Amino acid sequence: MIKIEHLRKEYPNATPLKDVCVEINKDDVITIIGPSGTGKSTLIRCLNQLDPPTSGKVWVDGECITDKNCDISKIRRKMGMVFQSFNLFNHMTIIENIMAAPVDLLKKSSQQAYDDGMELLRTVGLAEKAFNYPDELSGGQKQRVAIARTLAMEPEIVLFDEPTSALDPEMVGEVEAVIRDLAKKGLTMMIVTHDMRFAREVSNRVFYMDEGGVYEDGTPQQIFDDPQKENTKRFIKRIKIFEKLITSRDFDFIKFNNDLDEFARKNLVPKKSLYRLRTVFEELCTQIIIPELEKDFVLSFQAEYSQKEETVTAAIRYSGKEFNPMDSGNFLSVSLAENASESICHSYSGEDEFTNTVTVKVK
Amino acid sequence: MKKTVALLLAAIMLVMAFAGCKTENETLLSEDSALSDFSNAKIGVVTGTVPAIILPDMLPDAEYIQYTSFTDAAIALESGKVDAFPVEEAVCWAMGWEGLYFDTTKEKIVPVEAGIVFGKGLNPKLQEEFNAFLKDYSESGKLAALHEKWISPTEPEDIIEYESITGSKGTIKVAISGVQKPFTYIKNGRFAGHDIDMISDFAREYDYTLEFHEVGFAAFISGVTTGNYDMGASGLVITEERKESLDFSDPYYSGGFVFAIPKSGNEAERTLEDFENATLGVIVGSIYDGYSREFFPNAAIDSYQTFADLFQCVKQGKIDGFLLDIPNLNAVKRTDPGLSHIEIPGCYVDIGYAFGKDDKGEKLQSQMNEFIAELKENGTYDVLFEKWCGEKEPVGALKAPEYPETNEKLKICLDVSRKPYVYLLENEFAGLEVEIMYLFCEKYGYAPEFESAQWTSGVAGLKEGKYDVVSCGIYITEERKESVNFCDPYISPDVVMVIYEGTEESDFFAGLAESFEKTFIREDRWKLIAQGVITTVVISFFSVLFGTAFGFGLYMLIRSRNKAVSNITKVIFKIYSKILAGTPILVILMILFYVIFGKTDISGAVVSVIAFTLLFGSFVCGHLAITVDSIDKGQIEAALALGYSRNQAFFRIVLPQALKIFMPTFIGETVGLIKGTSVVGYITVNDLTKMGDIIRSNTYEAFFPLIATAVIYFIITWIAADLLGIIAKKFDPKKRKPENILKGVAK
Amino acid sequence: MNIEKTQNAAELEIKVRGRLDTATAPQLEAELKESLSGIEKLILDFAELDYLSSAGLRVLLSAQKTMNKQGEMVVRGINETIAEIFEVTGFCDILTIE
Repeated sequence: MIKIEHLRKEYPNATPLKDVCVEINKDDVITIIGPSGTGKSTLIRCLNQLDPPTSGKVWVDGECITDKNCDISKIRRKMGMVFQSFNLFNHMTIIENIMAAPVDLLKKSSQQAYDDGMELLRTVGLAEKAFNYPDELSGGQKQRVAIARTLAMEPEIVLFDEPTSALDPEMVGEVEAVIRDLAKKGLTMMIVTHDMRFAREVSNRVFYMDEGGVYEDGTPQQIFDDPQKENTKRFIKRIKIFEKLITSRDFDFIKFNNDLDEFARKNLVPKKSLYRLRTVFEELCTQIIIPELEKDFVLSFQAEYSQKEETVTAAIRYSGKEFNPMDSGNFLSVSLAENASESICHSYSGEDEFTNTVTVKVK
Repeated sequence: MKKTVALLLAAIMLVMAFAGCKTENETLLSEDSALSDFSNAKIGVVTGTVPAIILPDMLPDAEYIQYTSFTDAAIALESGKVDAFPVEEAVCWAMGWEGLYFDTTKEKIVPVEAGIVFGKGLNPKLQEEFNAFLKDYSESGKLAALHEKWISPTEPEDIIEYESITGSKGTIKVAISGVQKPFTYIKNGRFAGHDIDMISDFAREYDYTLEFHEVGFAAFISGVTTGNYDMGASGLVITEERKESLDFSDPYYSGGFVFAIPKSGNEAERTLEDFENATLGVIVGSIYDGYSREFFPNAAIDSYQTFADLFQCVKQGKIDGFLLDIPNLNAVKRTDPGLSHIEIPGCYVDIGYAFGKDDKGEKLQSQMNEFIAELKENGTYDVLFEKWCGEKEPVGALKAPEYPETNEKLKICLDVSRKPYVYLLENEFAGLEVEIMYLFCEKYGYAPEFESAQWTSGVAGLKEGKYDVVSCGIYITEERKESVNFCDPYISPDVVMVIYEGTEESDFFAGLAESFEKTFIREDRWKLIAQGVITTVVISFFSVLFGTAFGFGLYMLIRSRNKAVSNITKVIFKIYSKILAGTPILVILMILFYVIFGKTDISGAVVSVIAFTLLFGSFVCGHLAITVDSIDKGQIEAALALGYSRNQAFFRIVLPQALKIFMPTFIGETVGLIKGTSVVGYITVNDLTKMGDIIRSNTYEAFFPLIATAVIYFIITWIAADLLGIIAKKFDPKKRKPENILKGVAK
Repeated sequence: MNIEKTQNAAELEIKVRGRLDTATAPQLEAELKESLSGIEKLILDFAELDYLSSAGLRVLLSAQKTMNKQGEMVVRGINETIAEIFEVTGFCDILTIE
């Protein structure tokens, strides 16, 4: 139904979409997830051209809507959009909000629009608020009205731009219920959301957006339970990374510790895990490995903390000849390191820059 | 509630304004006052006296307070409890003996004669005798001598020995009043007075023994009527009523009742020396500015805008005096007798008509010279002069004659603040120069087209060719001759120092009513005000209407998708609104009127509408942009997402919400514009403010016309704001009545 | 790291606050070198010690050796983690822990 070809969106300061190629089928309920700034909202806003793409083509039902001659207003009538900040028309009553577009654009009679509108309001459970004004409603109610307003135009696809992000937790449920209902009824939807649980529940397809495009595309089970690609995994598992490159024996140890403290604070690493990680670094790297290395060395220290699983792993990679720190005679350091870890594994590969790899699972 | 508070404030404002203002009592009571001047006064009358009886009929609107004696009435006058009291002339002289000095009106209320009274028909012989005596007494001059003795400022000292008058024919009992100076009164325990002297002489001559009996007035009348007393004497006034019950002798005294009024203030004559260090008023840049500085180098000079201001200030004492040509002063003095003047020897001005410095102007100049010489020769000028510059105000409007269509049009600028040369009489142009001009046009085949404007505008207009003549009793000076042609002066009146000698006291409310009458009723002046109101309202209305359309149009151009159109409009708008914001609207009006549209025929009113349309349009465009911008963009996006075009989204979603925010400021700016139009008088438009000014110049009243103008503006803006408020309500979607939402849809 | 010394005749108490690691161990070492002459009892208060690495352990070992000749050394106020370190590395046998 919708085909997106090499979609690119550039801003003066950033290019959130570098190259997006994807197809959307009828009855798809697609949730779009990913870290901030990766172009999730931009993607759907490029679809209905609220933000016109810098380059690329979009086809809707065989019609190229990125063409200059295309009457975008007409296309938009087939696509509905629900916004994070609801955007109801403040000077109209609720029912007027819903009736406005069908009467003005679809040329429905007022009576017809009214009846259909009231029906929609009933569906979303807000018929009694028909003659209130938007500022009299709660956030969840406003969003439900916004959804009804979009549905009044009988769109073929509805785009949701973080529909529950601006809501208090108590109200998230009522909006999600409506969306779930629509999915059941077979409405084609694209939903940008941060709510993984909901995404998993309601969609048949998940787009993980990263690095300027649809980084990974799969079923909810695929994406959430078994992500294939690195970034996806990290995102799903909410992995936080601390990475440092050391190239000299006189590296700034104090700064390193401060940065490590900062990382731990920001990502809520538990105290004990931090202690042990620090121990792993100090004993293995500072005390054992670095003194062993030749003058021109590189050492990469990478720690990963998974907020989801609450585990810390460290990967120490360094150049030079094969050397396993656990084999060094440094009893003190080794025992301390061992005490702080679940497992320490060393491997050597002559081909990489980092010939030695020590993987530590911190307790 | 709000309206009540507003009304209350308006009332307080009025009262406070008046409390501070000294209203003129136009009828200042003085020796020269006419009886009618007392029509609203508080008059103290002595019960039973002739004036007490007849005055209420003569002056029914006056307030009368009864006193039992003239002394009481006199004391009341001294303390200000009454404005005046009627008193017989002779009696009034005598009051001076007691130290009560008053001025009296020259005009008599009623002439009276005094006679001796006898009981009706009771003693005809005695009457005859007395009348004979009186004839002799009078012919011999003794009566006159007696008058001179007793009707004088000083009290006679000699004592009459009346007790020793005895006669053989019997005793005559003479009733007298003890308190009727100078006729009969008690002095040091004895009786004295004119009548005492006279009757003593009678008794002596006709051989009677004299017995004076001092009685109160009521007893006096009844006593004589019943015959208890043979005669009664106390300077009793002969009246028909009294004649019914009493017989009078022939009259022995002729006098009359006059009004006694408070003695006027400082009578000292002022001279020019008094003005050495005084404060003088002048009109900025006028010929008197120079004269005043020349003649009174040490005086302080205060500058004012109009003659009306100068008159007002000299009355209030803000200035000690100002220079003016005497005909102007005399014309104003007719209604303001408190004004006076001091002569300035050797100071005079030349007055004439002003013409343009071109061929036409020269032609007019020589024609006018010819014409005036003719008028003076055949005496017409003197007739006209007498009419306009005489003692009395001419009655009735000056009707403009009909001129044939073919006559050449003559554009004449009149400054109507110069009585008696040019002014408004019953809303028509009138004055010496106007009538001369009518006649001039008749003779030389012109058709005059008058336009009322300030003389400065007129002179500027002469240069531009806007006017052919400026007529306003304009002073001919060498400096002015450089830019205009003058006819030879037709009058060279003396210049005098105008001063004020009246008092300011008056009854506040009477003064209020009078001011109202002068401002509105007299000469149907309310019509002028109505015209002014219409002008102000029309200019304001069209300025707001066109300004709104213009501003809205500009805004839509700025919004245009076409970059070129949008950018050009933005630049134009920025420049022109910056200019308007930084320049006073008055200056803009004058530039438009005198410079840009100077050579055209466009009227001041049209120029005003243009100027205010530009001004208002600037506001509308700018403010509309701000309010539209303030509408959250998300709603526009939602509209677009639904399939609305940009324009549809603007008109359906953004504009209704923007207008709601826009309206309050719009109403405020409209009110500001209405008030702002008050300066259009400077470009010859007769709006409400200008009309108030014109009335001020004619009535020489300051406060009432001004306060009235302010109140009318207040009312106009109030109505405008209310009307716009009703419209504004229509723009507030939330204020819609529930029934009106979704009309026609079954719910 | 913060070192607080309290001397009572021949008794010296040193309170260590903060981390005792590769960067800060030399500071303690220097301090001890300076202050230990004539001391018969050295008390190390580790109540506010946040972190101890092998570098720190080495300094402790050296201090213990020195005090063995002069008198005695006592370590007190250690927390669970530090105790664990002493266990695992065998230092609990070397040091006198209160």
